[in-house]
Parts: sequence; C-alpha cells; structure tokens
Amino acid sequence: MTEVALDIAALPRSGKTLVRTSGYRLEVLSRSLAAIVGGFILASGVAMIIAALLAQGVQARGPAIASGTLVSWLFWTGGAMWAFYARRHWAAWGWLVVPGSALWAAGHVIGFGG
Amino acid sequence: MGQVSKDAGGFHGAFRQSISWMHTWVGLVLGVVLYFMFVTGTTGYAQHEITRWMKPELGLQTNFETPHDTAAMAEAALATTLANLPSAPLIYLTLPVTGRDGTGYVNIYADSPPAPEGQEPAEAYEAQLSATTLQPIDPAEVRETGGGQVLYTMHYNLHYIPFESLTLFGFTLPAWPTLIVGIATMFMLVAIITGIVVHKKIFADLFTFRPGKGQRSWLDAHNLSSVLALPFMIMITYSGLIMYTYDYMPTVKAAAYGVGDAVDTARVDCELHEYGCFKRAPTGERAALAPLSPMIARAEVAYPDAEIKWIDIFNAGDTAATVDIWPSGGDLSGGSTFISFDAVTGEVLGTKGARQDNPVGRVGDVLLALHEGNYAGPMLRWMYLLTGAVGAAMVATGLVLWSTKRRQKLKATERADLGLAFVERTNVGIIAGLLIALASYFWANRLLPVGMEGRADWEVNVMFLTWGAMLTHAALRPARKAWAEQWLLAALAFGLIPVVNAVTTDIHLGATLAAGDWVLASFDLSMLGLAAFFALAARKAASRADRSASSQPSAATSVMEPAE
Amino acid sequence: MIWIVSGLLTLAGLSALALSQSKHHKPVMGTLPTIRRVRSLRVGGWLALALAAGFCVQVLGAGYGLVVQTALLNAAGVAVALILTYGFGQVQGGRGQTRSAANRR
Repeated sequence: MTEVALDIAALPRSGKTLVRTSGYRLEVLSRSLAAIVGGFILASGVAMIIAALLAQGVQARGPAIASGTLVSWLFWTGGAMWAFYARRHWAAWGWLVVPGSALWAAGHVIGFGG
Repeated sequence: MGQVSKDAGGFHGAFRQSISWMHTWVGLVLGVVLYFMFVTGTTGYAQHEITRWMKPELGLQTNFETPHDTAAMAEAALATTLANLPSAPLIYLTLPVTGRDGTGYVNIYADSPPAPEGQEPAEAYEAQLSATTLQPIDPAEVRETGGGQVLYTMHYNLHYIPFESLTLFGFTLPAWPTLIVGIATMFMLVAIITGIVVHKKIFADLFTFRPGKGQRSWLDAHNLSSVLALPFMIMITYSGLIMYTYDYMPTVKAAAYGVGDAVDTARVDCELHEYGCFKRAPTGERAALAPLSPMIARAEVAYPDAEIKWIDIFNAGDTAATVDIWPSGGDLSGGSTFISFDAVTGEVLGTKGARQDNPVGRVGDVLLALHEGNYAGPMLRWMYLLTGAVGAAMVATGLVLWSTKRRQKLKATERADLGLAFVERTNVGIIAGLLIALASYFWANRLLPVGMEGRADWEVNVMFLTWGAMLTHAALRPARKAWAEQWLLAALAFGLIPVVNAVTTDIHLGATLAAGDWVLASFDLSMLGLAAFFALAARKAASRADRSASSQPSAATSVMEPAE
Repeated sequence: MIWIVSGLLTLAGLSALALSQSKHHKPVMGTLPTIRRVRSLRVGGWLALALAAGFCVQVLGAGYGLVVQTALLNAAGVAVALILTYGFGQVQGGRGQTRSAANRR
C-alpha cells in the first residue's frame, strides 16, 4: 500500500485529503516558485562568482563571463530539483536564495576589474 | 521499491518520488510547446529544401556536387544590393554550400541606413540570387511564400505572439516568444535530468519494447525514444538554452557591461560574442569598395577545408567599411571563426579563430554548431531529421503515457476527471493535429491563388486554422475514435501532397527523379514515407478503438502496473 | 563507405550487448545464457562498438566522427529494439512472465 500512496499520480482522486487540499496546492506553488526564482538566484550567484574569479588577472573578460553564464544552467536545474526534494518548502527557498545571494554579492565585490 | 526511506524527505517523502513527480509535471505543463518546437525545429532544419519545394517557379536544380563559384556569386550579390541600397550599414550574404543545404541561391539581407529625424527608415533589402544564373530572382515571378524559413522561425519565435518585451525594475525581459521558448527549454532540461535520475532500469530496459500492454508499452516507447537518443536530447536542449543565454541569465553580463543605453554594444559584441571585432564606426566619407574576389580567395586559403558561407559587409561605401568572411566546413568550428578585411584596401584586419583562450566558450560554440547542424553532410542531415522526429515522438509518447497511466488507474465504474479527459483529448489534437496542420501548410502553398494578397501569411494562417480544427475535432469525439480518425487524416493529408504537387506544378516526382533533382524528390518521397507511417498508426488506433467499442471492460482491470 | 562499415559494426555490437541480457537472449536463442556467453557477448559487443567509433574518427575526424557514431548508435539501438520485439516475439516481462503468441494482440 505504501508504494501506491507515495505515487501522486496513482492516488485515487477521492478520499485522500493529501491530494486536493489548498495546502497541497500552495506547497506546489511555493516549491515551483522556489525552483524557478530561487533556482535562478542560485544560478546567478554561481555565474557571478565563477565569472568574477576567472576574470581576475586576465585581460579579456569575455571568456570569464561566458564560462560563468554557460555553466550556471546546471545549477539552475539542480536547484530546481532541490526545491522539490527539500523536506520543507521554506527550506527549499532558504537553501537556494541565501547561498545564491551570498555568492552573487561576493562576485560583485570581487568584481571584473574591467 | 517505493518504501519510505528512513530519512524520508522531499515533497513526497522520498527522493525518487519527488523527482518522478517533477518529471511528469514539467513534461505535461509545457508538452505542447515542446512538441511544437521539436516538430518545427526538425522541419526548420530542412528549411532551404522546403523553401525550394514551396517555390516551384525556381525550377529544377541538378548540381549538388560541383561547388559554386563563390567569388562570382558574392560579387553579383553585392552589386545587386548596392544597386538597390547604395549605402547600407549592414549587408548579410548567405551563400549556398555544396551538398549541405540544397539551395540554389544566395540569400541577401541589407539594412537600410538610419533615417533622418522624424522619418521612417527605408525598407531593408531582401532578395535571392540564383547561384547558376547569378541573376536576382524576380519576386514577381515566384509565388509569395514564407517557405521553410517560416517554420524555422516558428521554432524559436512561435507565431502570432508579438515580439515585445516587458521592462521590470529597469531590467528588460526577453521578448515574449523568446521567454516562453526559454522556459520550455528549461523545463525540458529538468525533464531530461529528472528522467535520467528516475529511470531505474536504464541499462536493463535499453532495448526493451513490449507492445500491446497499455501503459507499459507507452512507457517503453517513451524510454526508448529518450534513452537511445539521449546524447542528442541533452545536446539540443542545453545548446538551445545557451543560444539565448544572455537574455535568460543577464545578471553577469549586466554587472560587467551595464544595462540599457549604458551598454557599449560594440564592446560586448567583440569581447563576449566575439563578433564584429574589427568593425569601425562610419566616418561619413565615401570610398569605393575593393573587389571581393581577392578577399574571398584569401579566405579560402585560410580555411582550406571549408566553403565560404557567410559574408558580412559593414558600412559599405564608407572609408571605414569592413568585410567579415565566415567559412562553413564539415568541422564544428563553422559559425565561430572568421577573417576580417578592410573593405577599401582589401587588407586583412585580423582573424578570429575558434576561441583559443576560452575553453568553456569554445564548448559553447561547438554546442551551438551541433544544434544548428550546418556542418553536417547529406547523410548526417538525414540523421538530424530522424532524430528530431524521435524527439517529437519522445514528447508525444510522454503525453500519451500520462493519460494512459491515469486511465488505467481508474476503477471500472469511475469516470475520468476533468484533467484526464482534457489531456486525453487535447493529446490527439496536439500530436496528430499539428502534423495534419503541417501538411495543410504545404497544401495551402499549392492551392492558394498565386497572385493573392498576403499569400504568405495566409499559408501560415491555414496551418493554424487546421490545427484549431483538429483540436476542436478531438474535443468533440471520444478519444480513441479521434486518434484513429486523425491518424487516417494525417496519412491522407501527407500521402496526397505529391499528387497535389503533380496536378498543380511541373516539379512533380516524375520530373524531379528523371532530372536528378534529389532534393525536391526527397520532399515528395518523405511525404509518402510519413503517410505510410501515419497509415500504420491509423490502423493500430482503429483496432484499439474497435476493441474498446466492443464492450470490453474498462482498461483499468487489465494489466495494472504497480507504481514505478 | 564509412557509414555502412561503422553502421554494421555498431549494429553487431549493440546486438551482442542486447543478447548478453537474459531477457533478450531467451527469446532469440531459446535458452538463458551462461556466464561465459554473457562475458564474451559483452566483450565482443564493446569491441565492435569501439572499432566502429575508431573507424568513424579515423575517416571523418574527431568531431564529425563522434557525431556520426552517436547517430549510428541511436539508429542501431532503435533497430535492435524493434527487431527483438517484432522479429523474436514479445520480450520477457520484468517479472519473468511471457506472453505467448496467442495472447499477443
């Protein structure tokens, strides 16, 4: 029975309160936003810090910026997956927004020397 | 399997379930956009071939092996352009490449000079020049059509959606179509990675296909189409994302170069995009352009294994004019290397090689080259088309899998809920309907009157009207019948295209095969091939519809697969 | 030409790898494979794939060659799957059940 109960797609539509409550829908919304927005913040932070670090002591900044930006998508995807794995939805937000913002700030401070 | 793990976290108490849930929903929510993108991307890849078929007045072409005279084409194209637009700030020439894009013409695009205060700028100059006659193709002699290019453009710009952007807090978002397509691509990336994570038996089931078992069969089909083509799927998705990456992830670029009017676009172009590095601001003094032939000869020496494909001329007629010449070879650096000339003296200003100091950038360039697929020879081009079709099938089987799985979970007396009924029906209209709509686009090309006003727009309107009609049909018919009927319609719609072609033009299959114009012949033959495939699908769908009609108990009581 | 050579090698290699799995070996060969058979099929299969890739890269260059090989793997994979299903009867179910031809729709 446990395996059926955990598969949301398999849950019968009537009866189980887990499926159709507003609390469930709110959580889906919150986590989805965390995935998109929070993931974006994390990805931006990673992009910033990578770009800033790579731009140090180098004349051409283009490669550094390209590297950071291109790689950031992996972190966006990972962050999005994390948003649905975190035990609590506000933990999802926290672990994406806080490190993301911190990295972004750090990258900004280090700067591009440009 | 499916047991709650001891440290149960996640949205559904366990990692696998959360990721599985994500995979289902990112696929379902934007499945229609992704399916549309795969279908238009695949057909758009053959845009030049399709355009030639859609412009039968261009006639047959038989030279696919002997390279064209690049210098002659370029000189003729430039002469035509300057005759029509003497001081164009930007001229783009796209030359046909032997055996790799089936065109017989040079594509010309020239921007008009900026207009004085208060006046509208003149129209840009766009034309095609025949590679064999070196004469511009008279638009009055060829039917007005968007050709394959419209399909290609729809792949990343959709259609009917205004190309405008919203500005929030000083940041200009990407234009709406770009935004939607970008979000769909991001969802696709999540779908791929979650799909890999969640597919437990990825190696054990690598060659497994069990037809006739309901949901299990659809899952097998979905797995097969995704896993076997996985490198392509990862490549096409990630490269699609980085194609507009600075629109979707503007933060770093904004931090480095500023936003809005503060941005030095020339600097960004050269430093970041490595384009137009030797371009100079116009001085206002006139000077004649040096002949292109020596420049082209020089470029051909610099790139011995490639053909010249793109020539960009900046500020033609000015003393600061420059010419960038880009090769397109069978290697993956095409589109990222070029040689730049002073257009007045003909001297080399510099070259841009494949990004030597920028390994990540170079990977990005390679990915973009892979996505565009311009480097591919004829055989590989066919593989691109097939794999693109597999991608469309991947999305389609995923959509059908969702509704099949839901329906099989219903008990015998239960009716489908609104969500399931909606998805079941729209699936037919989306999947089969879009294909029928595509066929109708080609029908419209042959049947709409040649002199008709706004013909090109109406060809596309017919396509979307047909799609709408198919969605309506699917809404009104029971799902199983709708599948059978639409697949049959698809088979007829595609199968009769060579017939319509023969009746309305003289580039029909008999003529093209006899003359050796294998590009045009391939189009008609592909239509027949697709029709055969859809006929098969129609037969399977019809037998399934008959079976369910002959009072069989609901599918729910047949093979009930426990949750993955 | 290279497509045919590498294509056939890839097909052979993937077929061997497929047959090394019992659920595919059984319908095709009639018996479950021995450990030795599995090992030799796997080694042979990977060898064929490596040869195919090697030929592609040598004839077509690294970048283009690897792309071609990837495309061949895709096509051959689909071919093997379809041949196993439609040529040799229904694949063994995940729980060891088979559907006989009589039950097959």
